[in-house]
Amino acid sequence: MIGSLIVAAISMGIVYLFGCIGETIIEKGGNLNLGIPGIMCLGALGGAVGVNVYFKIFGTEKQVIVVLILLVTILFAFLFAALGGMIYAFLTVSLHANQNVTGLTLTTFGVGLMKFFGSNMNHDNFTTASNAIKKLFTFYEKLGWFGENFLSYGFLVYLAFILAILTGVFIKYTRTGLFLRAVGESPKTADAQGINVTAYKYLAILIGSGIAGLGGLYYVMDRSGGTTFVEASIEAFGWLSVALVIFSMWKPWVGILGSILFGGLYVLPQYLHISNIQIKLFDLLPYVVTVVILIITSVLDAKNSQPPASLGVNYYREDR
Amino acid sequence: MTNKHHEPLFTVFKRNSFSTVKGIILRISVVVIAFIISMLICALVIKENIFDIMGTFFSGAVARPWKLILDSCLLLGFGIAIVPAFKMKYWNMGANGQVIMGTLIAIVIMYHTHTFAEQSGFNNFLILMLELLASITFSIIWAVIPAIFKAFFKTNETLFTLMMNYIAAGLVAYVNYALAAGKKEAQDVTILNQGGWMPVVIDKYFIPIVIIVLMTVFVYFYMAKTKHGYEVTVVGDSAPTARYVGMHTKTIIIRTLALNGIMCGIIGFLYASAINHSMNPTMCGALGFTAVLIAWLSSFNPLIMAGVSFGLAFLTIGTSKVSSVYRIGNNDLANVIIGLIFFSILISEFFVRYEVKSNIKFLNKFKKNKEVEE
Amino acid sequence: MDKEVVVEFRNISKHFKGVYANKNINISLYKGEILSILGENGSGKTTLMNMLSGIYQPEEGEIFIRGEKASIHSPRDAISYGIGMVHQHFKLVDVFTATENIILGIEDKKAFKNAYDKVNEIAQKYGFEIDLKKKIHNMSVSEKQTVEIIKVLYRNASILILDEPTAVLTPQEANKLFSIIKKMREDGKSIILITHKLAEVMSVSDRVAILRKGEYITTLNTKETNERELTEYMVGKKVDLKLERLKIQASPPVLEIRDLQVKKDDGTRAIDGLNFYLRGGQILGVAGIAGSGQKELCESIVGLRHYNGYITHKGINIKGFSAEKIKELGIRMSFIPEDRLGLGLAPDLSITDNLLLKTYNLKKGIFVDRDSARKEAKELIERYGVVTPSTETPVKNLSGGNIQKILVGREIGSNPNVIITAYPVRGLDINSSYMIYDILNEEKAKNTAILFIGEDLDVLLTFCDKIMVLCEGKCMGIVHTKNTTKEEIGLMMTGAKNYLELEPEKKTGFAPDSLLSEEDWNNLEREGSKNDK
Repeated sequence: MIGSLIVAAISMGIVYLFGCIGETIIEKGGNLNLGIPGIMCLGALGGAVGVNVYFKIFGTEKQVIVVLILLVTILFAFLFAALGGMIYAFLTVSLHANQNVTGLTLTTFGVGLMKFFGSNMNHDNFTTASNAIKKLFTFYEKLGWFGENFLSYGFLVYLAFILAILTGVFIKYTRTGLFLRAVGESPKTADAQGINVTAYKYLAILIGSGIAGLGGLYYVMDRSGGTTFVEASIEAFGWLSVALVIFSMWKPWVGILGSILFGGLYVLPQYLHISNIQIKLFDLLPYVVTVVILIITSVLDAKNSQPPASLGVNYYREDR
Repeated sequence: MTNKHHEPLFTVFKRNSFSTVKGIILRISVVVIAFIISMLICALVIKENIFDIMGTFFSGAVARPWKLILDSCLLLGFGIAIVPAFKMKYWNMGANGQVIMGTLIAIVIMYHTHTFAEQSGFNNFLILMLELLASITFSIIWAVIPAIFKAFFKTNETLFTLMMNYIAAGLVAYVNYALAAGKKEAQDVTILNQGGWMPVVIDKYFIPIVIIVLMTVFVYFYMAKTKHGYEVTVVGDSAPTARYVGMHTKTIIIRTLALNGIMCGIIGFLYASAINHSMNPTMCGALGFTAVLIAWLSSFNPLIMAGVSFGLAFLTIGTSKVSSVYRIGNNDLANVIIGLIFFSILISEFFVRYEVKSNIKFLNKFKKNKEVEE
Repeated sequence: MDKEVVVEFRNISKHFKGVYANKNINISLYKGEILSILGENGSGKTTLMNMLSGIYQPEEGEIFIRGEKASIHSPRDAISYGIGMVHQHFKLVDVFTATENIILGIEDKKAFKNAYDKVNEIAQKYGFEIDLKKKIHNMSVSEKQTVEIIKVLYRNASILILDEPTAVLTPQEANKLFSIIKKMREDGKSIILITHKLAEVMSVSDRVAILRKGEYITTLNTKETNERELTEYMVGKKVDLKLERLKIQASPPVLEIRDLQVKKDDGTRAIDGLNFYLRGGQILGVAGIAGSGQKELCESIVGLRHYNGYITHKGINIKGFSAEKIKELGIRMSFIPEDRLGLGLAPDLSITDNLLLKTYNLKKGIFVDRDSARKEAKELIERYGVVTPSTETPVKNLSGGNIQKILVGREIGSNPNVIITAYPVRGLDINSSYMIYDILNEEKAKNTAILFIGEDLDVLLTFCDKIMVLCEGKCMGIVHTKNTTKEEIGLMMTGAKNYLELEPEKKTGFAPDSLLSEEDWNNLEREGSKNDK
């Protein structure tokens, strides 16, 4: 049972992990993006559009080509989410709008857009698409517990893990990562050193948003099997992702563990033999634990878990 | 060494000043443009004549004037409730949760006492007062918990209050479920008889509207004239300075959020006793967030907030009419349009604060020619 | 032989908030020279240089570099012209190491690997000492400055701008810096030195360009001028302003401080076992390298920071009292902090509301009395000649000097008997500075005890009665200003000379006429240790 709990925890946690990786990249560049929930919704919408585009091109009769449908949905989810990020980047970086207000507006906008277009969309092929997306290794069942625990997931799960590790390496060890951190810590310094602050911020926001958007795609097309789309509480998952960034101390590697923990809390009630009424209470667990984590991290106030120094502050070169 | 550098297309300078009249005209025209664009998009999606859609929109918006005023007041009420906190730069995103907790306890009280309350007017009054007191207490608790941690440990209040929203919504789902247990189908608890209801004067929405208007007036005077309001402003502007002159910043933070809780509690109580007589986890929709945007973009000026709230309520009701007439989903269209309008306002803010000089040659030429002509 | 002109400003203008920061500036820099740019605070020196380094864009005029019209739209462009600037407020990433800061923005992929060799080469050539793996937040001010200079040299800058580089250095460190700058000149680099200190201009620069209130006045050969002439150009009139030490009879100690121990925000030690006292009618100066515990010392005295040790006011123990409790006790202490807009004033609030800060709670009732505050604001504006559109203008919109007048005016207005002041003239023009000095002298004449934390040693030496020197939170001695020199203070600032060790028998910082007997102090100590348990 523990084994299957972990499998379920991972499969839920990936939603948060994508959001966490994306937001970490954005925050390392000094922008606090409260639009992540909206961006994840845009990603989900993009994925859905991608599915419809795929079936329009390749028809519904033939066997689904896994590589192609993955490519198309990921591309669309990434693009839709990055487009949301583009709005945010333009408003906050170029037009110096307040980051929190812009983020909130983007969330309202993204959630509305997903639900509006999502409910007016052709859902016929979502289950077919989901079946293709959510299993990568078809032979895993033959490999016993090993297959069950390590190979039973869809491509996006492995992608998330790889992205988390790569992002960690990028931020910590590469030259570009160092420059990005400088932008987030002290844009003044980075600018005076000839680093193109605007370009770095834009790229971080676009790429980060794109990655976060994959969380929405993953939830709709993999985790929930293409069924719950419009009613999905992706917004809540978005906020948990933002909280996960704090929990992970801006380190995507820690984010992997955190996402499994958060995912575990979400699926836990199903593994406890409790009544439906009690399940309603256990549903609160992820939020309560997040609150506890927020409190603990702030009480500890550890030196190596501080946010980038200029997080949330817009940069205008001529400001004195 | 290559010394030819690409000249940026635009250079941005900070403005010295921008006339108020110009600012108002700019903002209004931006909103109108955003609205027209939204309607065009609607027309494209629905594939109908844009004028028909706009007709539906306006007639829908004014069809139920009391509802329109109530919705404006609710938006305004949420916004007003969080104004003191935001003036302190405390990002209270939890107005939804704080209101819902007030409603929750009021509904529970109504559920257990409605038969008793129905017997006589005096009993009903007692129960109403009990509901009000309980709502306020619960909302204060919900608002003050994050504030305590903010004051003592600088815990991130944005995420804390967001999480408190979900916890509150979850509790409502739980209580609804628990109270309905034993019945065939789980559904929202609704108080059907008049026990614990607010008496109807003129219209069932009249008293809530009056209460929220009074709340708005109160907050205006509280912020502008009282020592408390002054302290809140100072803490928001510079917390170290507040400490320097001997203000108890921690007390001020907690006290202000308690006030915020009182106002949210009153709104929660109104939901239970006068507006819905029932509760569900999504009863406040995106009101809490929209209120944040309204308050912030109105620079926390109650008068402007009232105007903006009315505009948004008008928009929401009109759009939902459009949605239902043309069968295109529910309230989500309204959120999309609200998003677009706020984006446009944010863009216009930029032009109020900054001056842009273009370095594109033919544009400048064009401008010069125009100046010569004039 | 005519020298090659490397930089030429032609008719440069720029304004902020409707006021010209630079107006029609014409200055040339020759190859291989040190050019001082001299001007009061607020005369537009830094603004002009920020345009050369690509941070600001000029609104009018052109910059020519090596004879060609330059197009500088960003710091990146400036770097490619070989321009490097060491800013007065260092531009460093605190959580990065020295190396990481130095290679920031360098596109060369091998920069990481080669950094050590190249930096070592630079360090040897000019005689820098630097630990490349040390993080910036663990560095002293002069170490930070070294990193800034290496950063510029690492990019092979041939035009160097140094903005008030000696403001934070001891005299000895400043001399070392000047010898490095001269070495750079020998290498053919052209150097611009922004300063308002005449002695520096005279001792290092070849030529000096003078700015006054944003306008260009003239350029002179240093050899052909003198300090008096420069002052006249700089201020615009013959100046008789003289800093003087008011001689009055000092009264018994007002504030006595023993064994003070304070921590910084990050938990490290800021003040370590400090003893001193303040007398009425006396100004005690505090000298020390920036970050030697000055900020923490002030904040402890006025009750804004937790500390160990004893602070007594007229014999009454006020240990551990918060700012509001001190106020409630009726102790009239005024604090003019270093960070005026961050700690002393509320920047977005009006002048009226800022004056209310100290008095809003004196009257009973729930409402704020703005009318009398407005009257007070009008009086203050008149008395100190504050330039402002109205009493309702947010203080952040005022100029530095006017902001300080509001703060000082408000603090003096409460009729204090102790004034704690940190860098009260920082960033002010000469007239405002002298106004502040005069106010402090007036207060001194009223028998007020004054603690004056300063950075300009010349000022400290002429203005104060005694100077306490801090080095890494420890007292290096308290000396009478008439018996000491700038050089000696400099040595004490770096810890090279320590009177507490040289003369241990002297009990430095213990008032001989303390209001408390030794027995009282011992009692305090016993009580304190009881409370601590």
